[in-house]
Amino acid sequence: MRTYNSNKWDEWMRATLNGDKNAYRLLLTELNGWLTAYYRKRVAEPHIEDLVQETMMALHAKMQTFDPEQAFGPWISAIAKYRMIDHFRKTGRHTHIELPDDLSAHQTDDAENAFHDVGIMLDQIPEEQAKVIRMMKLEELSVADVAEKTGHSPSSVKVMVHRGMKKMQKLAKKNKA
Amino acid sequence: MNNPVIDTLVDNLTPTKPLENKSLYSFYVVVLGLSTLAVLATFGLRFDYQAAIETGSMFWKPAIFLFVSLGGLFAMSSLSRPQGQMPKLTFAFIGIGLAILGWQTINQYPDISLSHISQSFGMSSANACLVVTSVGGILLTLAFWKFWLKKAASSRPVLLGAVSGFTSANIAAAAYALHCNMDMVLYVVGFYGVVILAMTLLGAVLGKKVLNW
Repeated sequence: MRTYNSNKWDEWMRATLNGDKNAYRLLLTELNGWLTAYYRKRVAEPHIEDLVQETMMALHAKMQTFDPEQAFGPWISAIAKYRMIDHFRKTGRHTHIELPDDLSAHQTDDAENAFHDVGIMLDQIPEEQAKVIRMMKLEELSVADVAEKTGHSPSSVKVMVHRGMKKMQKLAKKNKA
Repeated sequence: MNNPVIDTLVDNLTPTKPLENKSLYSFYVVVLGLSTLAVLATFGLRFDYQAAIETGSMFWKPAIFLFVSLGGLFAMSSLSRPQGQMPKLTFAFIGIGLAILGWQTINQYPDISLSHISQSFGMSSANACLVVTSVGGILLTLAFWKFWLKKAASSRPVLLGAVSGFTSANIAAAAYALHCNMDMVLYVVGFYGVVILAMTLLGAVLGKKVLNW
């Protein structure tokens, strides 16, 4: 049952204050459904269960603030609203984003595509520059290792990499345009 | 189907005494009485009390703070509950306090001068006023916290904290006004007003920290 049942709830809450466990169980059981419906209209599905439980625990902890001469509805509605605002306050700075299960597959695809594009651009720059860039950037060799393998001085390797990279950047911009 | 949260809550249920406004009102009367006794026992009535009774100063100054504190009291009782709003009675009582202040402003208008308040700075009675209302306000806020606020569940904890600081400072001011012989409106607004404002801000900060639930 998800409709607000004024008279019964007022009566059960008054009995609850007197320690009547049966009335309390009936009240919480009906509230469980009502609060779920209340939050379903206002918050995202994953937060509903937590908020319903938090609201019931707040009711339990603060039941002394219920005035038996007043109606139960506005009281529990105010608690539900307060818990919801508090929940937004706590989680507001963090947006929950569902990541796709096959994220790693996408990443692999992207990496492969980038590798392919770099290969095409390397074919369009001078052979020696492409060779040292392959060694340093793709095979991750150190400047000293590349210098040893190619016979160039370390400073010359650095210059070649710099020039080659600039040419590749220009090619990338040209292709993008 | 069993719900473990409901089962736990039901198992832990014990009879609970609901908060009653009349308890808060009784507490207010007690702390107002004790504050007054403390001021009279420590400082005594103002030395010119006979003249002050004749001119009315003995009454209008404490009355301002008394009415304003009553406004705060009704706000505190209402805001302590989740669905609580600022009651009309609060505005009515604060209005009465401001009306008395306005009436005195009109009465004193020919004599009002900023030099009066500037001369008050550094005077021992003015310093005592600041210290007594501040310390008294803090002690009364703690007393309200212990007796009432810790059981509250306000949807507006910052406002409830501010109102408790405001009410406490006004009770302290009402008590100390029986000893204070500075009757210039500018003095009352300046010296007492600063303490009341500071206590209100302090209450708001504390409310944000400790009245969340």
